[in-house]
Amino acid sequence: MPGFVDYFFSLNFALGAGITLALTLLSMILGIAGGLVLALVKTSGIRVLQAPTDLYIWLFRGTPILLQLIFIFNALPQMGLRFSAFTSAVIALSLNESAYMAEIIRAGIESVDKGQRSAARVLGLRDNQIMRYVVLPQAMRLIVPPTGNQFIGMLKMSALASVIAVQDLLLRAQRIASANFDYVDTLLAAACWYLILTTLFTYGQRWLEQRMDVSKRKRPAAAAGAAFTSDNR
Amino acid sequence: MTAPDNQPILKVSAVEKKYGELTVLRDISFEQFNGEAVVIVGSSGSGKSTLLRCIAGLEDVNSGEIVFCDQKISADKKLRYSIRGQIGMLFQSFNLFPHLTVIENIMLAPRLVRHTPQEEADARASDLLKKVGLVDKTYSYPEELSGGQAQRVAIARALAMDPKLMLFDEPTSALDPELTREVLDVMLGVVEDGMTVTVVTHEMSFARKAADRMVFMEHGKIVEQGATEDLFNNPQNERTRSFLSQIIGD
Repeated sequence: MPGFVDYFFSLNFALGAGITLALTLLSMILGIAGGLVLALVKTSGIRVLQAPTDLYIWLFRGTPILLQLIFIFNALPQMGLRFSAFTSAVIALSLNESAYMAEIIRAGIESVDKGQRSAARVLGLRDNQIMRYVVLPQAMRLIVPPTGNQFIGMLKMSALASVIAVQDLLLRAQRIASANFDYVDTLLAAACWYLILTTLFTYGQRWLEQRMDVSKRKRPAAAAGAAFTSDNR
Repeated sequence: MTAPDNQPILKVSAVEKKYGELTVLRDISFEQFNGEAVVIVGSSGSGKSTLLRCIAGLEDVNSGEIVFCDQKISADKKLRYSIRGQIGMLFQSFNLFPHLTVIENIMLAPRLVRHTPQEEADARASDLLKKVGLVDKTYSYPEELSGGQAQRVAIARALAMDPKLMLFDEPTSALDPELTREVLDVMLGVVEDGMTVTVVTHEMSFARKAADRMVFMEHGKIVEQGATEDLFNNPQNERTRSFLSQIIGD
């Protein structure tokens, strides 16, 4: 009978952790991208797009993620849209995440002093350049800490995908647990994998936050301004 | 203070600006010639800053028009893109970009808006830093600068776009007296180099030294305008007289 150590180091668990990580990273990247689009729309002042954006955020923040997940996996096929379990999970998690990231990014953008935009406008920068080179880099200081929390939350939320049979860490642990009738060792092994991943994310978050602290950053020597070479429309 | 050409570079005609029901500018008209320095004075709340923001295209006027080098100014994006930083502006709160070093602040607009090559922009920025006396701050971040240094960097940043007109919106009002002097000195240098400037300030000694003409505003209206010495020595309007005596009196 295998014990905790065997489970922890088994290929099965490592693969499960890999799928959990892939699910988390994919959903977060798409969620951040979606949230950025929603936040840019919300702060753009384009009237006709406000109501649909609000509706989206209201819908996805107002219903359980588990319901959204099952809806995409089980209800959409009845309407002729079929996705694999993994794809369904990524879609559900990133759609849901977009709604939360939208609010985080919007708050970051709105925290940037209006004078920054005035100064950039007078200098002749285009609106997209102002957003990219002036507003967003400053908004990042407010966006990164809560986004780190979202990453960690997503890592744990991804376990919900086990209900639609995504072969993630939790599902594998449960299957082995019921096969061997050994819930304690299997679930503890899975918990350790989750802890390792969340700890890594926490360190990543801390590193990013420190990197963005201007006063601790290294001086760019001769290459100052090289960052502005792209996007020359 | 070069001799003015005969075509005004800036023509403000019968401008009116309202925020909702509140009229902040009414019937503002003045013009400015190339190389001229105009100082706008008046008590706070008289609409001076709003006027500069309208000239810079940061706000729209409700009626009347502002014409700069044959282009009608508005807050429209297209116009801003076509003017491409030909009007520079200094703000009371400096508004340097805090996430960029001093030299990056200066090079950002030339690189993005004018597509100036890297080396050229770099060399120009270094020259400008020399001009405002801050070469040692090239790679500093704005939070490491004093207010006076920050405003001098902001002057260099504006000059980097080679503007035809520079607007100074109370650039020293957030500064201590000793820091005010270093900024005023740099501003005087800019005026002496022949830049056309429109300055809102309470610094009367600067006005007296630098301004060719002065505009006195109150309650959103121009009460009096004229050559600097005339306005100081022989103000025609009662309001101008009492304002000047208040400011210079002590």
